[in-house]
Amino acid sequence: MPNLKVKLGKLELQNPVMPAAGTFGYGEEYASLIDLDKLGAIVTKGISLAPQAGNPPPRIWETWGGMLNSIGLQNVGLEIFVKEKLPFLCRWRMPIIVNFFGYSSKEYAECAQRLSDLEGVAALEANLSCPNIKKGGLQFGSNPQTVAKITNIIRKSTKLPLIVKLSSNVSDIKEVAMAAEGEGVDAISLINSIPAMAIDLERRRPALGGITGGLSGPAIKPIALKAVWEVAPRVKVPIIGVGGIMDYRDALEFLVVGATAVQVGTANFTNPRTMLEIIEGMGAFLKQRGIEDIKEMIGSLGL
Amino acid sequence: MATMAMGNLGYHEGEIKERKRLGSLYHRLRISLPCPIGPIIPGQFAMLKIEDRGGIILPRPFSIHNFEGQEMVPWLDFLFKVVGKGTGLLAKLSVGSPIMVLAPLGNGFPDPPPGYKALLIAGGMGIAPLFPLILRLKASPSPLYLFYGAQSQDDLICLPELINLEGIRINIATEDGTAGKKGMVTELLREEDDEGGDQTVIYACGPGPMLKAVADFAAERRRSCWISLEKRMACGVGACLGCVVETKGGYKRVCKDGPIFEAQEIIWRDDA
Repeated sequence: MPNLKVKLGKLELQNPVMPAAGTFGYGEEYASLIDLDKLGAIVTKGISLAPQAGNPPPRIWETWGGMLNSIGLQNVGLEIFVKEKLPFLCRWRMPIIVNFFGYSSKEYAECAQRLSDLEGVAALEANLSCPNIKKGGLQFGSNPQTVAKITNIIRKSTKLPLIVKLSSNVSDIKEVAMAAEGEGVDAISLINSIPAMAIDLERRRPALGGITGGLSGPAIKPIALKAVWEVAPRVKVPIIGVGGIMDYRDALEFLVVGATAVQVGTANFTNPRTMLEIIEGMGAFLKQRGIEDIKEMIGSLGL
Repeated sequence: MATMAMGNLGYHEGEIKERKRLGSLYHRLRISLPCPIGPIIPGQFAMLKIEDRGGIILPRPFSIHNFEGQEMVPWLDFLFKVVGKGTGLLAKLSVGSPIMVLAPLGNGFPDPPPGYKALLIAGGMGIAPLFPLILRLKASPSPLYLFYGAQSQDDLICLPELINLEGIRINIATEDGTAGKKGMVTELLREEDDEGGDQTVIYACGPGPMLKAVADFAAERRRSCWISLEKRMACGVGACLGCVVETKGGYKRVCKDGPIFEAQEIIWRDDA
């Protein structure tokens, strides 16, 4: 069997496949459907210091080859996460990556610090790119200066491997990624869902309660691929490719353009076994071609 | 921990066994399962997913309309109306077609306490999850009353099957007056329901405004009332938080915390 192990800084993964934050709950929702221990890692729903109610419904709407969501980062808050969600995740062997966010740099720092003190948390992923909240989120990831500033503050608050999740909705994604790298992140996740909109024609109203939302699914894969391809040669830290991955071929395309690992989001809704099928498919693809190590695929794009 | 217990939950490749057209817009599908599932409680639902076609990627939630047995269920019936792309594709599937099924999901209707009268209120497609409840309660000694409303006679899709059932009293209302009393089913309810008093449990499913009217009725008469809600869903298993409804206890997931809720728990909005 080919070697599927990859490293995200100090974090070692048995394979490069994990869920995208916000699409896999806190793991428990899918534990009766798939064996979580087969995943490279698990990425939790975004956690904030205080519980968040999220946006008013309707919150999802299907579009051609994709879906819009306007969940608005609803989450149980750090305290309940630690008490009620983390113990369940700790029963598994796969590394736990906690996605988190704040509404100010102070909140990001405090959240990172408190998560770092917990046993069982393997790495943190700072969400600097959610399109669905008015304050925070995307606002922190909008340009190289703000990304550098917030990353610097978070970096000082945690010794855990730190991943930042960035948006493609910026004028120059390379500059933004380099700014994050300059502040000592261990990896960069590219991309988040894309700000978008849908209309309920019968009612002549926005389809979503939050008016606009984030587009995900196959429709955004080409955009995500380009972002990874642009950033990969400019940074030394590993990149986690996210956006519209539906099968192992999609996942391998992200590796070819330079990603070290991938996150799967919308496809989990379509088929909860998608990630396992991707892991199996990657192995079979490599074996068929006599490739012994998946690292040979990373950044192997011929131009 | 790699062998942590996993149930038989997961998408199963089912097969369309029967497809019946009911009127111009309604269909009933019988899907056989590769291995029996259960237990199933009336009110629970399934996510149905057909092969990738027409850019549709998300599965769709449907109430379980009928099933055989309880613990080892070999087939499920679904009732649906063609309203969009997903149901349009579903309506075109022929007998023998494969279809992915994730079931049973969500909670179900609780049984009424012994001796209580069961009052069921269905609006249009709302009959779908109430139908198996009727079949279940029919076996108990509880008096059974159904108020069934729809736009027109043709929309009373399950009436032929219900009308011959013994031990159930049916009141009909149609908005155009082509069957039963002309008007809304909730108006009929107010006129016809004799005071069953506290010993009545209400079960309802239908459009939002109807459910709100039922909830008001139940609150006025201080009766316990269970409703089935419908929302757009992505995951169906509680992870995505896409299908939430506003309740007195904050947003709750229709897929995991419902789809059956106590009516008084819901915060009713006009545009819901």
